[in-house]
Amino acid sequence: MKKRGQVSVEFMVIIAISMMILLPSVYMFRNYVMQSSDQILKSRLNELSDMVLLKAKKMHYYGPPSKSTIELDMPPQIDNMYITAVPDNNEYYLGFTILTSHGTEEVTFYSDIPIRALETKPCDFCNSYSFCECMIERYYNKGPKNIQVTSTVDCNYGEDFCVSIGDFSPDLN
Amino acid sequence: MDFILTFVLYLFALSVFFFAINDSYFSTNRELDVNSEILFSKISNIYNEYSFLDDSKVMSVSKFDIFLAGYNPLIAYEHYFQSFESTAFSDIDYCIYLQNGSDIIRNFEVYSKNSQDYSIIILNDAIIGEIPCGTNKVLTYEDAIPYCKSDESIVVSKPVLFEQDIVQLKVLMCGERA
Repeated sequence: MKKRGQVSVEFMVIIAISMMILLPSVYMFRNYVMQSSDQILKSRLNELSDMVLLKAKKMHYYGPPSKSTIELDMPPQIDNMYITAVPDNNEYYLGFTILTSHGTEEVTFYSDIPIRALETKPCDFCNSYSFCECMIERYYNKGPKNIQVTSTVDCNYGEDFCVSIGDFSPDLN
Repeated sequence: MDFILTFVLYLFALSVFFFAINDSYFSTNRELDVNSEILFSKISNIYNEYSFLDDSKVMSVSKFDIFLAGYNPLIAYEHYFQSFESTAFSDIDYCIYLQNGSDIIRNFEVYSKNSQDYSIIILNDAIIGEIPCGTNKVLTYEDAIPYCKSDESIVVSKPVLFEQDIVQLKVLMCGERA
């Protein structure tokens, strides 16, 4: 007589133990990947902002009408891009609202030279701040961008010179 | 087995080589740059009909205007800027102008031989349309500034004496990435 019942029980026990090991592992791995993905996004934004603000500083010190174009790849998960300022203290910040595994988060990068957005849109975020402007979506949606930083005398808060930041991707010109 | 390992190592070395080459030579973010000290020194040390600058002094107004009247941008390019050519940029145009505060006092174009469409223009609200820099060599443009149509531009400047005033001698470079 074949011992079919014993084989089935053993098989079920093996499957159960495998699932007990596999399912928590998958869950832990998923959490790790999502956290890594957030860190990768922040690291990418850090690198990107460094490039833009460093180039902006260079153009600022050359003076108007100096300009330069930076080719970069904007990552996904960016919900908003804005500039806030405390002009009296000469403080300017390039900021991003990003979508992370924990919800939305604000990431800002300091600029010691006056910056402004070339094209803006009304946004709820800036309603809470006096000196704030949100950039249009084309500047921060996912994909390749030609970000142009231009030294100009056309400034928002009465500065002598400032640097405008805008996207000049070829297919839109 | 030895052959396979050797081949893998060879591919790795090749990839490192091309990565380094790509990073330095084919980089898409090459910058327009010029050593301003060398540039102004070169402009100042020309002793022919194209000299207008004597160290930090611009020659008298009458001499300067005579210079502008007989001026040829392509010959000027050879005298002033040919040594600053860069393979990263296909056309580099130059506009030399004297600026006192926000007023452009004098300006003249210097463009490379490859330029098909001169890229530096003067923007002025009072004048309809764009004016290439230096088109009218004695016309002053109040509240105007030279501007580049191309993607990259830098301005270098040096304070000089002109008509007993300290003004800024500025050189605007406009470049189109190759």
